[in-house]
Amino acid sequence: MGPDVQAQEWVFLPPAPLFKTLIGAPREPITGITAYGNQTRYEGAVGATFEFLRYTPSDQTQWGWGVFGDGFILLDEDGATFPMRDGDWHAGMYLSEASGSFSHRLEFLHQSSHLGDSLQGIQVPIFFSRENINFTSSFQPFEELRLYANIGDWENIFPRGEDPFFCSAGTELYSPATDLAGTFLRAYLTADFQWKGEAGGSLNKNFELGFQWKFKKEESRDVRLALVYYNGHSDFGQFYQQPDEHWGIGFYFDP
Amino acid sequence: MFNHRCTQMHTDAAKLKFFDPQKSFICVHPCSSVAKFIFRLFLFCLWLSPLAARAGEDQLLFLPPEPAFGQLIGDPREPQDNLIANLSYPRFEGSIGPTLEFLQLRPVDGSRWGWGIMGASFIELDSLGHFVYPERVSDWYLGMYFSQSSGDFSHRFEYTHVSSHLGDELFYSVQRFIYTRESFRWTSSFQPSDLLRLYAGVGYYPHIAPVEKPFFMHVGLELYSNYFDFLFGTSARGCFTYDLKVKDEAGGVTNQNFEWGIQWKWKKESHSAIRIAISYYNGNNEYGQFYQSNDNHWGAGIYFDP
Repeated sequence: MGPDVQAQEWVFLPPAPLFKTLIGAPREPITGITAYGNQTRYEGAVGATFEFLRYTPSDQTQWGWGVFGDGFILLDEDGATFPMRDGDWHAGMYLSEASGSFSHRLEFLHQSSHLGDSLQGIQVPIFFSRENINFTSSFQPFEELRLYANIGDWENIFPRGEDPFFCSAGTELYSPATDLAGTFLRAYLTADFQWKGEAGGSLNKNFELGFQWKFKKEESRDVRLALVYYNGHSDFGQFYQQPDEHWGIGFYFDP
Repeated sequence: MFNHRCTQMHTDAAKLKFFDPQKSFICVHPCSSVAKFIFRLFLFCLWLSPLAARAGEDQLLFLPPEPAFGQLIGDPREPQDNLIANLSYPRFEGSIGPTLEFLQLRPVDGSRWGWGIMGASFIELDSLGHFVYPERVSDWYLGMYFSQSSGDFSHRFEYTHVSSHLGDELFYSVQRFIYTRESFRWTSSFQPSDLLRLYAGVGYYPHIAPVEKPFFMHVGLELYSNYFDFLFGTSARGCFTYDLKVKDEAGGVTNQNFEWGIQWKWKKESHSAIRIAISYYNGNNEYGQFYQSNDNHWGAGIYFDP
């Protein structure tokens, strides 16, 4: 698995995934906290991506294989306590490829959603469990712009009877960077549009406007602070049939 | 002994641009580890700007790749990424737990000082067959820490919020209760070689619901074999961990966790690793909604160490 006659290279457990996190997609594996501005609610997320293998053949493409997982929690606020409304879990495996300005990712994803215990006796939980296969292509012609599109289908879907098709498209726009005490700071704007066939069809829109802060430009780890606006059906599975419109302030950490 | 230490610290301190060996306060603070710690923290804050590294001098790194305090791989409630099959009951556990170190100060004396946050979520699932895994409970952690490492020793001081939530599978059979806590914990670690790590800590819950006695203690060890060549030129080594927590809550609790496994890396100096381990847990349940219940089980897990 080591370097082989200057032509190809295998790396086991590379430090960062080949396909960069889509920072504007609300269900990417990220870690962060979002405080809603128009409701007394909070969202928390913990996410991790772990790339097993990176292969760089002689044609200068790169290939990655790994797993990912994330958990999302939706909390109400009741004084100093934060009762849980919902917890969603994702786990999956991916294959990715990158070449020049293009990168691609093929994922298999499992999702389950669980009603929060603060709603025990108030709302009946639904059995929400799914697996999908989805494909994402990303095009980043230069540092300040990234475009991406995704298409997928739920192979196994509970509750039954829902339209399993979904697709999305989005963009990331970045300002020129500023040197902040020797670090890399820039503003960003993301727009993510996802169409889901479920629940009669819904178009979910997510916008973020904020700052991205890194130690050095070439590093993947960053901290982001952003204003968030979401409109569509709820991304939390137990409420997927309900409309959700909120704005908030989010603090995110990308690995 | 103290005179010797003072002399030694002067020698180290003289290498630092911030220290002036002619000033008397330098003579006092190195003799007290607590004063030294506080002084370092003060320096750490002063150094928030500039953040860039400077060759040949102290370095302050923003978002460093590795935390100053290494993950305690044997502690079942350390932030970690894993999937564990319970071998005693038809259950599974999963965990996602990133640690993000914001800042790391690397003085020229070789020590490291870190400040960061950590979050983790732990979920326990029943397995009902036909790929149905209803949730029994989920615990969520969010915290902040300061850490320091120097030579064989490393230390971490953390503040952590924990909440535990009953899974919706049990809504009709178990009444949930509000489980929320915040704790302060100090952990010290000693790693004299690549083959051995010992650690111990104490903690206190300033806020605890349901109300319980708030003290806990924590000790453990990690034992490793020498590295050996593994598949395709990679490196691996055997590992054994033992983790013991003694808590005042629930009338007194002793939680023990054993793990036997193999740690697999790209190269032995790499930080990222995959571990595959058999575990044995005995004590009260680590999940908050069941913290008063006994839990005794075997597990087989795969762990992803960043």
